[in-house]
Amino acid sequence: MPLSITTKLNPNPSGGQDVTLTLEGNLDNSTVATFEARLVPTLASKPSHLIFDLAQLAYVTSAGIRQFFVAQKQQKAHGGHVSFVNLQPQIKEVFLIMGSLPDVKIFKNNAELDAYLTVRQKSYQQ
Amino acid sequence: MDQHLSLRIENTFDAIPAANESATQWLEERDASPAAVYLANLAIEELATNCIKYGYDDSTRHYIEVGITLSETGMTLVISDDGHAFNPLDLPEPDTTLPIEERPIGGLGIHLLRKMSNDMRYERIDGKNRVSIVKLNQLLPA
Repeated sequence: MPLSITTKLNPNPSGGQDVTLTLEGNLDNSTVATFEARLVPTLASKPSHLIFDLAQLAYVTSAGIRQFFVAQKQQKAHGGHVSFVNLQPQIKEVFLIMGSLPDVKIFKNNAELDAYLTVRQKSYQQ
Repeated sequence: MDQHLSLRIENTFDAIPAANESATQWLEERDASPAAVYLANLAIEELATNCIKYGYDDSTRHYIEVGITLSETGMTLVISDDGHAFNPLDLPEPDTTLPIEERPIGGLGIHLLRKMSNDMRYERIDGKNRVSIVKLNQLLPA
């Protein structure tokens, strides 16, 4: 199964930008270059918050996990955040095995993510 | 009765997705659990990729053999190759408590296979590496 990626940009009240990357399909050796090609410019734009929506991601291998690590490292380097939302059960198991990732939040669904973002945006406005 | 699938993967990266599609289709037709299907795909990709990358010095064609057996208790997957001797179980487990920027990049795939399977073994037999992985059917809670 191929991988398709959509990007959504959301300006946030702090003047920065939140970016959501929605992945659909398989993230493995045969598709990781497609992901990397989208991820590199996204990280270069230094988003305040980088959100991966994985609702339609069926499969991830270590090649894909390494890219998530790269994203976390680079976001951390400039004080940005990374979140993952809507993980399917097998993907969730992979994330759990990889250990709790500091500075990374995993949300069950969009409602939970939205609630978090709303609280964070309020904190910008104060 | 046990059911068995045999696949042969040529030692090129391009051959892996097709092998995974065949394995997935065969397993899904037999109502294997999503966890077993995921593990089979992961095992084929991670182990065949390692073998193609590091297993051979020559440029001749080699084949990686995959056997999947479904029984009443679960799935057994055996991958064998004629590459250099390599025991994936000798790799140290990555320290998943380290901060992300201090983690080594290698060994993640093998770590995933070890943790997602119920049993993983390695043997070197007749000049071949042989890795077998077992995924037991999950017992329904009583």
